[in-house]
Amino acid sequence: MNVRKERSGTRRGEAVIRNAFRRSVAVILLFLLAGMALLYLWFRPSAEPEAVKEVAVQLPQTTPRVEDRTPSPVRFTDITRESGIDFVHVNGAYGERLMPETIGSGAAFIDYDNDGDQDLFLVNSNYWPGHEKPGTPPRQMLYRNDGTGRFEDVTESVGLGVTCYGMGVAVGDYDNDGWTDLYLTTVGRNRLFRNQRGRFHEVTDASGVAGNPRAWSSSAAFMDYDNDGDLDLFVGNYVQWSREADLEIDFRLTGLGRAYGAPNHFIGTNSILYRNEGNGRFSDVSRRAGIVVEDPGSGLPVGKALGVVPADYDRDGWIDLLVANDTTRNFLFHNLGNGVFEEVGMFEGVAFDRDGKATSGMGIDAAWFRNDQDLGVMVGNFANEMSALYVMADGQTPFADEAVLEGLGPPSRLALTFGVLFLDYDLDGRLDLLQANGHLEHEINSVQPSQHYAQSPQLLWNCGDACRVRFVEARDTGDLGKPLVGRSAASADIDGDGDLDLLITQNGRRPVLFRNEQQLGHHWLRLRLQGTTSNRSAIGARIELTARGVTQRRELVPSRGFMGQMELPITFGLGAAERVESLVIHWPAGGRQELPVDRVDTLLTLRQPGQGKTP
Amino acid sequence: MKGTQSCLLALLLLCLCRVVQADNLDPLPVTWQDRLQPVPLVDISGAEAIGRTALQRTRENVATLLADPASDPRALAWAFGELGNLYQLFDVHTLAEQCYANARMLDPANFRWVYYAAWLALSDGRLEQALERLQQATRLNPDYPPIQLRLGQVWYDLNQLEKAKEVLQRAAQSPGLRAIALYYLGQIDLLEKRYPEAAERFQEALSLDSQASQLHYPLARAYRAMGDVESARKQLALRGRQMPAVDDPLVAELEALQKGARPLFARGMREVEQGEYELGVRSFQEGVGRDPGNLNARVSLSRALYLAGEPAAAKAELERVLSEDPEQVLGNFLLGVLQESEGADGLAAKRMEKVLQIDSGHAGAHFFLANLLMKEAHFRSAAEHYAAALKGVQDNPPARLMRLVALHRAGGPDAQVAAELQREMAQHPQQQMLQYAYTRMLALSREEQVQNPARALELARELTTSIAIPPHLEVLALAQAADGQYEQAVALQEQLLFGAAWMGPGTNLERLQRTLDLFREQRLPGEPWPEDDPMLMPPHTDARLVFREYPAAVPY
Repeated sequence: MNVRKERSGTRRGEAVIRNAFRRSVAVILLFLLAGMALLYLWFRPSAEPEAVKEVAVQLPQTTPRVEDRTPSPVRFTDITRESGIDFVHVNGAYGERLMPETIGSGAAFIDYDNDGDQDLFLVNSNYWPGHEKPGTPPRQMLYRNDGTGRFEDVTESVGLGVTCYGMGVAVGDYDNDGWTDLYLTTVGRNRLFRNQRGRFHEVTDASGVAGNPRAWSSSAAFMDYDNDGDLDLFVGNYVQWSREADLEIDFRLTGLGRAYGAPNHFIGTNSILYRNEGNGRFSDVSRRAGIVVEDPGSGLPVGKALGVVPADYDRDGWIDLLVANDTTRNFLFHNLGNGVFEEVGMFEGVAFDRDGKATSGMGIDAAWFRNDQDLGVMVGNFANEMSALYVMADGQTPFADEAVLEGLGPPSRLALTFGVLFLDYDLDGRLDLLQANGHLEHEINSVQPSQHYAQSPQLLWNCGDACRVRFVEARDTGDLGKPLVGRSAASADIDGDGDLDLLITQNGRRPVLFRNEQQLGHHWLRLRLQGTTSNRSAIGARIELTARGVTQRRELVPSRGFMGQMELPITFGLGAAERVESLVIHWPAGGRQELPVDRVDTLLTLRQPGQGKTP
Repeated sequence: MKGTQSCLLALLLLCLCRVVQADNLDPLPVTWQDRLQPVPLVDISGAEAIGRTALQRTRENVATLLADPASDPRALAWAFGELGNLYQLFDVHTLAEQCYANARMLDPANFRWVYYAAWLALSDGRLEQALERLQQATRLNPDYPPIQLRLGQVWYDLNQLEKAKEVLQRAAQSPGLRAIALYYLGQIDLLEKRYPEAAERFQEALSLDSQASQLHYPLARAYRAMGDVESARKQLALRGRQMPAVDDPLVAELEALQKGARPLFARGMREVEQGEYELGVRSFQEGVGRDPGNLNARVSLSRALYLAGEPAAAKAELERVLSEDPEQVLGNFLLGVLQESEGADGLAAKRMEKVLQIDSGHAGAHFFLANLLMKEAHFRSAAEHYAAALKGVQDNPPARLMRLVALHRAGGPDAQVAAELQREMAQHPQQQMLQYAYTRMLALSREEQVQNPARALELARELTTSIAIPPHLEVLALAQAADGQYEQAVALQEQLLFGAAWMGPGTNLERLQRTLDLFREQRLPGEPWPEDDPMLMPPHTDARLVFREYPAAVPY
């Protein structure tokens, strides 16, 4: 049963404990004496009670689809400290259990200085007013990569040492000047930082993207929804939250007492779509673009957005938006190509789980993971809700949740999943899955035997069509197998060796940077795209790469997962293939380009033909 | 020294907590320590009183049996099992698990405790454990039909579809399990893309259990996949949360232990949320029967009654609540809303004032009181209450505009109001009603530093380009007139009047006619924000909407 079930508040239990305490004050000295004895009893090694003998589990065996294979061992090493990352996330928790403390924060791989390697931006939250701690207040941090995976804190020198209750981050070159900009979502006013030759200047007011100063924003994404060659901005908003309302509701869980609140106690909010006017200003076009989704009965907003991924699911050249909502239905905003979106999630099959129930959607990602026409959309859900894997059939909607069939369902059932990612970690040419997991409640294990605050991330290897189930949990993953209070996950090749390294943020703790140690000898190709008539970051470009007769399809979308950003370059694993047969790029503002590829195991920079807009 | 004191205090608290929390279940008496698992005391403040009492009593019973070395192990098993049932019911599953483990240890041949342990594991998603326990339970009692269903659920979740089908088909032979078994078999058909078969199963399940609204969603998916879009949409519209009924006597026994009102209140909330108001009333009434002192729930009952079309009963329920607790904030507030909807503005205003005496930051009361004060032309007070309402809620566009309207009507100079309006527009560019008001101000202000017909025309054109609704066209006509383009203004105003005439007589029609007459005389209206402009009036109170949607921090 879900621990976030509705509870009404009562303080009677606390009162009983308080009274018991008062009555006991008179005999405190007695207790002091007794205490020593009790302490001994308490701490002495206790005989382990004999556990009930369970009959050995006979795990189900069925006829393999073709073959059962196991993933080749790929280990990940925690290199956070040795790489120079000393960031610690501060969620400000001081005991009142305010809901924003549970969400954690995002991270972005961004080449802010255009030196060709991936730098790292880490979002920080803050202390609550009146509960500040002495010393330097928590701040956002940017680490510069020296190209080998060693990082240096450059936060202050680049102008990003900002303190606010940060949540997520989006990156993209919104002004097409060749320098990637950065948007920060918060509990409060969001902020846009323009990158001017490696130094960031806040342009929030001038650009008009602060949003409602009392809103709680989560994931955000730059994308060009109107194909006019500049990046627009989608900002997901979560719930209408205030500290006062949170305390008034006074959530309690039997067995825990005061607990973190559940989103179903708060009214939803509308997310925002900003249109880039091309002059440094954005216009809020949410309502006229159909992003506002209200309950027809009440007129109240339906959305409680935590994750967003742009994806052109019908491949009509207009980027659509998929939004994971927490405890309400997920949205699929179908871009009609005329500046208007139609919300079709329920009809197209991504709104609910297989039973028609809204899940606690957190992170979301989308990819052609079968290397065919069928887009898959993965949504990370709450504990005891499987992650969803909505898949098209023969390139057509509706989507159907195939998490169980594809092998994602059973291993994801117990995990409380925030970040989700499709990535080819072993470079075999098939997209695998990563889940970053962790609970909200520190003491959850005292009421839920299958739950822990820290939970191991899960890496699921894509075994391909030949296997009985496609996704097989990779077991021997090194430090990646250790429990974390996982939230956002991001990937990038931080050391230039061609494979994807990982970063997972933790709530109220340090993030963990994992170096991918794969030595499988698989070939790869990395592509860095530069738009000209399309947006400079080429966000939304669709790439089709064929090697050994298999075509892999990718969309260049850095905003994926949960409140974080992937690097802009795209990595194709090629497995044993030593050559690429064809490479086709569909640029977001139009234009198809076929390029010869004469070598592999390299990073190619590809510029869209034609003249770009002058910034 | 300070450190020593802290250590001492910590030590005292440690001892104290240990003593306060200790009973015979943790630590266990020495005689049981090698066989049983301790069951610690936990904070049960989240459970309702009746549940806390039941837990306490059952714990005491276990403790008594534990203390007696002559206790029959089967009796002790039963006591542990009952305690496990209660912990399971109140979602303390870790302790439920420990209790069932003890029960199974003490009475290993008893099917009951194995089955409950399996059911608990299944509820938690611990599928391998559930499977193992169900297999053990099958060996103890192969004739308990729900086992086939539960095994089917586990195999289905483990992606062992052939095994799932086999046991579900067996479960479908039991009349009390057929609908639910068909549900899962239909889900497997969907996964395996046998859409017509899936549809057939869901339809049969619906014929067996028409209340099982959760069947409509997978049925819609089957239709959608078969290309029958119309049927899919119909089924989607019927989608609900009621699973097919399951005839599982042991689970029914467990659920019957729930004597509290909360599950009924929770059900009532869900029903109201889904628009099933009569059902919501019944659930709340039943719940209030169990827990009559729960005034929050009685307020929720009143809301359900109002939504079910029984305003008199709703009012009576609110009055009963307030007779028991005159300080009940939401009760007072909703009664005020109800009174306003009945036209008793004076009583409503007093009620809102009462709410604010109890809770000075109550955003709803500030807003509704401000609206009432506007009607009475107490503009300055109204402006203050709108401001207070805006402090309390994140998003209240009418309050944002009405505050400025109230300030203006209270004598605020155009320049001051226009400057504030500009600030609001910058912060809330999507709120077109602000731009509407500002455009009127620029067009008609008598203050030179504010008046700007050219800008007014620009803004009015923006509004009509964005959406050409009558108020935007009206303000465009006004801006045209202010800019000296009376001919165009007259033409547009005539169109508006023609359109408004279709809507029937009313002040709007009179106002439009009056403005048209002025335009024809090449004159402008005198007041930028006239009192009879519906865009600049306090919004009409929709009591039904308030009763349905006003948030209750603690609804029961």
